[in-house]
Amino acid sequence: MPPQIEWINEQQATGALSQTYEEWFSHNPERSEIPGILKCFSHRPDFLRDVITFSNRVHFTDGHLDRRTKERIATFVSALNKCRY
Amino acid sequence: MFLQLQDEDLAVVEALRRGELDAAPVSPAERELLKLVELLTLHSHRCGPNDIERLRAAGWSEPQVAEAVYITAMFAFFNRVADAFGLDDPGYDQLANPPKPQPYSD
Repeated sequence: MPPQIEWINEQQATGALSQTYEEWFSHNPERSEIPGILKCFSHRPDFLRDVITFSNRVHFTDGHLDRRTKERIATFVSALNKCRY
Repeated sequence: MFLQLQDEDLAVVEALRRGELDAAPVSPAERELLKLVELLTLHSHRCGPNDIERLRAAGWSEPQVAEAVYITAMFAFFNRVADAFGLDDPGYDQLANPPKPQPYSD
């Protein structure tokens, strides 16, 4: 399903965006497509890099809270926000 | 699906996925933490010192409370972006290749 706001997909990407997509694929060799949530940031490749970095650093690792607690918070927030998934 | 990768306790997952904290069989301390998450998500302007004090009393440290706030706000951010673009499945689980958990070091 095409996004409501146009984004720049893998085939259209050039320059910094293409590079960022390639880097993501190199870290995720089993994936054949860039996740939609990341393509939402394709209009600002610099910001896309920040989003990947901070979500890796804060959410996808143990920190002061363990990952399970963070996942529970994430699921609860998304449910309260009625985010469609 | 995403949370099940991390959490066998389906009852908790299902309740949180319905947004029903009361139905989630979590510890008293985690219930207090998730109450703050709910408050910040639905009525953040109402968050006051007492809301934070309850978490301290439940045993949460200042860094843990702060990190819960970061995750809560981060997912509000992702939710809004995903909804604006009309994503059905934001695929948070595909956001990254989750690195092996490493303890955070100051």
